[in-house]
Amino acid sequence: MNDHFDIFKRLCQYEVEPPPGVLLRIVKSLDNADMQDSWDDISLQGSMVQLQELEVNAPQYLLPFIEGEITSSSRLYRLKEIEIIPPANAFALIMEKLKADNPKIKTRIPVAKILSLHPYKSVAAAVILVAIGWLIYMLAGSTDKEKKEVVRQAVTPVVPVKDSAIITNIVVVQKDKSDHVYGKTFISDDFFYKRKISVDDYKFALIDNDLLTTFAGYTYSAIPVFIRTSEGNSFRIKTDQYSDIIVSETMSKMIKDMNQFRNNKKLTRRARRERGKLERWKKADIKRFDKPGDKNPLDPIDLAEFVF
Amino acid sequence: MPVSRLSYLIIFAATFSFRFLAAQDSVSYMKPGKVKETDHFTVSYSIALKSNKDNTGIGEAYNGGVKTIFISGNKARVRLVSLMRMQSIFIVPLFNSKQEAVIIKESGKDKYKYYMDTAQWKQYNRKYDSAACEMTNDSMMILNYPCRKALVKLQDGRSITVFYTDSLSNKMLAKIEPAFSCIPGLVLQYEYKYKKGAVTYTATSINNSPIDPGVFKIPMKGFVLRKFSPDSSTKQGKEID
Repeated sequence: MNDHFDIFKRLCQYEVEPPPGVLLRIVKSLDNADMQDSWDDISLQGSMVQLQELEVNAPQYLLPFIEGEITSSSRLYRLKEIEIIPPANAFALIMEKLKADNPKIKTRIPVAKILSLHPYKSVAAAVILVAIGWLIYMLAGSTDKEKKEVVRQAVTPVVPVKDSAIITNIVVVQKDKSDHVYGKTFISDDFFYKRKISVDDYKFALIDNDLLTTFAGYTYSAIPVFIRTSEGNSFRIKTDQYSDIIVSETMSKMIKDMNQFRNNKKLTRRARRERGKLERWKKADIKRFDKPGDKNPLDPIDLAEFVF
Repeated sequence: MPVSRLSYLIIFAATFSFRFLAAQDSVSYMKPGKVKETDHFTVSYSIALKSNKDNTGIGEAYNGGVKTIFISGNKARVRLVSLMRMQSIFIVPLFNSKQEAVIIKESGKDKYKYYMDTAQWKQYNRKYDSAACEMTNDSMMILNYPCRKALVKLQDGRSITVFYTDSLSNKMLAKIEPAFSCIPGLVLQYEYKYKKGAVTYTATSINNSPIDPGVFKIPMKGFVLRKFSPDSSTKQGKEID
């Protein structure tokens, strides 16, 4: 095995440099042979064919060494430096040649058809997009406006209410600053007479200190959010630190029905009917419990015998 | 066993024991063996009306309401807050024999109040004069208080079912709630059945903290003074202030 390497090494000593330009001519001839149907140099053609016929595969044991020689050879590596830049119009010439040979070949790559609309349709689409954008902006703007309104009302100072003074308009009550601590718990003074009640985060005052009168007295523009968005579900009213009233589903639905308005801002027939029913209830309640010394609504027997 | 594991075990056991003892302590505090007489307390009851029908009609305006009892020293107040009305009864110190209780209607256009002396207050609650308490062995836990069941039987045959705890008591309870004057403790739930319905009051909170004196202050302005007259009907009086 080692004798073969000795032979190659000794052969290297007899290396003769070929005349300059031979390699370039050989490559050129090979390229022309690939590109042209007829070769110019017939003799060379014959030699190349003969060489190809005499091709012998290298022995397996030599392949790794050959590959190693190729990668480590400085001469082969230098071939990279002999990079030939094609002429500037080479591509155009190739395409012209191809087109001349076969006219069916499309030399121009077609651009993908992404969207094709009639001008009128394009205008209509643009108008629709603008309209949708405007609608979204208006909706978002109205929400912000409502928020700003709530904030504005929240910072509006409220005239303090003493004892049983009657409030006849709806106002959003500012947070009580007169709260103070008694013993362990946080207890505010005159908490029963502040007239501030809340549903969730919505705070408002009472009309005549009467919950039902308040709920049945809203105008079209003053309906609280929790009534407007109510789906007849039970909800909780916080009147003071001791009293969280649970409004039943039946009453919740009735309150919602009492505040249904037509487009002309007038009450619907159902709303008028529900408000009428409420008035009848209030009259019956007054008749039953407002006789001094007669019936007591705080008494379980008197209450049950009235409502059932 | 490695020392580190042993130390973890000791820490875990100590923590668990501490929590267990703390829980025991809180339970024993919440359920004292003897009656606890408190100077101040506030009890809130939620009102629930039940009926065979889908809704109780006008009763829905009381359903979900709150009844609160405030007691501080020799002053007491019971207050009803509901959709339909807000009304309070004050038990005031006896400055003179003419005033023992005041009833105030706080809601609506026609707010009023009327005073009752001892006799009138007794007459106002006359149906409970001869009420008798019948204790039973049934029990129930309400707000972590063990409660015993009792029946408050009126002379005319009507009865109220109550659950009470003997852990809390106050001498003012019998005055502010004459219906339960025979109950040896604080009633935490009571129910009265009538026809096809029932009204149930269930305690939702008990607070022993001092109460703002303003709670017991009888409002003066804006209330029409009426005169107690159980036989005759409404008598309009002059408005105070």
